Amino acid sequence: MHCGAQAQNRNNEIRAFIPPLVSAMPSMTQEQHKIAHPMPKQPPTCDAAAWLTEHGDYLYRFALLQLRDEAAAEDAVQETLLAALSAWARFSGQSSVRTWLTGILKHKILDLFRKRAKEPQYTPLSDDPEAELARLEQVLFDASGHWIHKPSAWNNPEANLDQQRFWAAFLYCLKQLAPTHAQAFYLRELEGLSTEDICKELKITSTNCWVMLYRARLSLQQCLETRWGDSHSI
Amino acid sequence: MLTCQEASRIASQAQDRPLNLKERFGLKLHLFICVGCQGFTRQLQQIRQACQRVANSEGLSVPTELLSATAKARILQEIRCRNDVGH
Repeated sequence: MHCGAQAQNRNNEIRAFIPPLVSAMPSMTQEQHKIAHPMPKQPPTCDAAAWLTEHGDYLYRFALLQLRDEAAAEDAVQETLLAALSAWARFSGQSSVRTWLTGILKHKILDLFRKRAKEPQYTPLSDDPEAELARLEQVLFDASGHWIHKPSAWNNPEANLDQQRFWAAFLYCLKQLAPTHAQAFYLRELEGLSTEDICKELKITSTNCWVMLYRARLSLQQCLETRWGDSHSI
Repeated sequence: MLTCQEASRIASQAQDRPLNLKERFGLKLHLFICVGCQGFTRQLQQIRQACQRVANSEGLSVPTELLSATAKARILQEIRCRNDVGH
């Protein structure tokens, strides 16, 4: 995989700092030498095949969660690796390779969300989002505005098996979100955008935005109450 | 005095913007006496934390979906093609 001349020079610089294996100290065995002079940690290499092996599945899951389309998620991973190859020279090594690749992937996903915002199934269904919200609230709150079923904070999963069950439930619930709400919610909670930026990206009003986020949170809360909460509430 | 319905709307918005004085005190007062809404606001925090963990790769380490071998091969091939063309 070509990474550009810049990257190659950088690799040469790194190699220059690795001390050569000492041959002029006959009194020390190889093992003693290894302990006295441990090999420096291997610097991360620019290798798309290795990245695909080590991080491909994770990147795919992250993309699939938000894009909900296998082909789109595969494309996102591909474009991420391509962009990473071009950007390798600028990788400072401050973060892990996975964090860095995830950052690139988030940009790719955001680009895709921007394109999608124009498609009909992602535009808000109604001109009166608060009326739609009120309909959902009627199911959750009684006539005096009290909770019909009082929510109770969930126990944090501790045991390993519990954790796996929690993530399975959580990911399932995320996938149940309706596309419009899901998109705003992912932009906020996974991509870390401000509500202002979400409104700009999705071309929605701030009312639409808070209603979408609230509906997403309510849906998640209800779903988790069913799948996790019943046996795991404080 | 806020109802649970009103308080929950505000609790959600509190996750995205600063509340004004009226909202803040209204919510605080309601939470003081309402166990259900205490639970709900705690759940909102738990949902947010879980999302942060998903975004930081913790929640996605369970191998639910995997890139198929065919997809991986196709991606590598595409990368090789497009990378070589550029040079």
